[in-house]
Amino acid sequence: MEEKKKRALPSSREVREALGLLALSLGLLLYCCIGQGSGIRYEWKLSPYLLPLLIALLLLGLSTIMLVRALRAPRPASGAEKERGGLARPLAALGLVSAYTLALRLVPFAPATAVLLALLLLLFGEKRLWALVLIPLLTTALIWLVFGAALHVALP
Amino acid sequence: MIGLSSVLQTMLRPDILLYVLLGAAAGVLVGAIPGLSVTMATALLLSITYSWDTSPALATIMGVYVVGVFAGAVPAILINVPGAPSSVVTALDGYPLACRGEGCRALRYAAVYSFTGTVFGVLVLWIAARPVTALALHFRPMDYFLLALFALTAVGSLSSKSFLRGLVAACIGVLLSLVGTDAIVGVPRLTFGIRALQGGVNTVPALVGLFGFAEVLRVLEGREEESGPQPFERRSVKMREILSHFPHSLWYSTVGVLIGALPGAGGPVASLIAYAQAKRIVKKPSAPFGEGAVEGIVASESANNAVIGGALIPMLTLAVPGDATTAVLLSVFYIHGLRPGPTFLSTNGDTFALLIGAALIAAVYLLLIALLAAPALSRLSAVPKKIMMPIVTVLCVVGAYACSGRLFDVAVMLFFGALGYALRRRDYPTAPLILGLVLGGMMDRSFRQAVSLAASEDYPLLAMFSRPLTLVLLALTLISAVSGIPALRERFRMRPPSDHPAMEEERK
Repeated sequence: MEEKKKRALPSSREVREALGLLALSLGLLLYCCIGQGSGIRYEWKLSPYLLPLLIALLLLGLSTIMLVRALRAPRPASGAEKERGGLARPLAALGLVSAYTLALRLVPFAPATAVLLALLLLLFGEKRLWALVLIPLLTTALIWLVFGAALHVALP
Repeated sequence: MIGLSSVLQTMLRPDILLYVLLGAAAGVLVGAIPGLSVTMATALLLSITYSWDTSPALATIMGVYVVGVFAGAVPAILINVPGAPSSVVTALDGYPLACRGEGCRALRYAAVYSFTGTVFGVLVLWIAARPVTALALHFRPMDYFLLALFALTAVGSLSSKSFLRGLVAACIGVLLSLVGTDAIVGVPRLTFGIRALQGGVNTVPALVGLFGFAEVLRVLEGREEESGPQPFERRSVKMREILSHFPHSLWYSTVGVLIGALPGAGGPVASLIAYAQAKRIVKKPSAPFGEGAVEGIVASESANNAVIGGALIPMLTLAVPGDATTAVLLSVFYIHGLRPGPTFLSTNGDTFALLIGAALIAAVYLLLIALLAAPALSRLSAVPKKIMMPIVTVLCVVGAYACSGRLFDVAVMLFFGALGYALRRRDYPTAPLILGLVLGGMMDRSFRQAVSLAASEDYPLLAMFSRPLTLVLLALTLISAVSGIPALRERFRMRPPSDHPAMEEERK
């Protein structure tokens, strides 16, 4: 009985995804209507909000279909989601590169890049000390030589 | 039409051979480095060749143009970072092949079909420049819109898992392409007060993020470690095996020439449409599309290189450039006192012969460079991912920054990397998103132009859809859209892309 109840429950992840899309399409619809109604007014045929409005309507329809399908679909077996890897390492990489981008305003390219490379190598599981030192230094030097010195491409 | 002897004479001139080689070497470099575009290289050469004579200047630029378009496929195949937007589709099947240790095979296919695509495009330019221009002139705004819509509805064939998710991804792509100041009325749109977004989303950092950085994040997730780095493949690829796809490549090249002749469309659109065509016409691919089918590489590379000849047609006969690179090339013509237009081919036979000859020489250089360097280059895919991926990350940052010199573009690359990773994690295909991103601007402009033109007529709908060309494009779009719906596929027993014979055997 309990199993039947469990099976009848919809997949919450799919529902959340469809609801997110629904919210996006409604937000876009609202944005287009407000944009069209304010400031310099254009007829819809020339309006910059015409195509975004059509996309919002299409997304509204698609998200509704997704929501209905998600509500009808049975909940996936427990553990199915565990097949996917964890988010910690991708988020750490995203954080590192974001911090590096911000740091480039203050720190020169070469030292910042060498440090980023060493940290990324660690994140990818490289533990050999020589690799953690040599690869960042050589790669940074090579990039600087090819882009900066040979091609005269602006480096961050 | 200019004679064969004029072209051959040009091709045998030692100075032209040397200048094209110079351009080809520069083309390999700029094409293979993400963030450095062929257009950028042509613009740089414009300043260098300013004081040169016309012949060496045009020969060098043709070398960069032809070889640069191909070279974008090299990082696309080896590290999943397209060197140019037109190589995006090559990465879809090229990178999975490289992951299996077949990078050399993928590079050889790319080289051979880049060569055939270029030669086909140049021959069409030589023989049929005028009729192709006449056909391109028939395209009205609604036709451009329908062409883009046709490409978008092909998401049914591009997204192997879910048509619905493919459509959502395409919508997001179009939406992101609309960010920035509107081209018709000059109003900022979807910028949310961020000044840096007023110029729109730069395609290069977006693509570098969607492919390169998203791949880095995916590998970090840990699922990729199961396969690990593959050993370098030592199996030789027979030229006979490669050339077996030649008949299909002629069709993809035709698509490339026609799309190239349409101003504003260009290589990415041509390769995406050719890829969708390949999925429809190839019944038994070597592997499922998107998982290492060489047929995907054949389609993409044939089409995006055939665009070169196609894009030169309206530039030479109408002075209307077919893509960004030919726009720069047009200014080279003006600088050297040449005036492209309807009488150009008859009054400037020597220059036309030079362009044809230089493009053909560049195609030969492309083939030689690629085939000789492929084994060495493909060893890159055998480098362990824990070493390769941090380097790819830095190349993504440098590539995103190089295209405009703004740190904001690095942020754009990171955003698209995270978006691409999130979409792939939830099984949304990225190909339709890219298609939407590339086509969105053209769709927006042409749709509004078509609507406002028709609005002044008594019967607007009739005015929009009464022309035979428009009706053909509309029919193609409807067929493409309907065939993507799973229920209808089932009804008419169309084989979904995932049901590949190889996979069926695996299931058994």
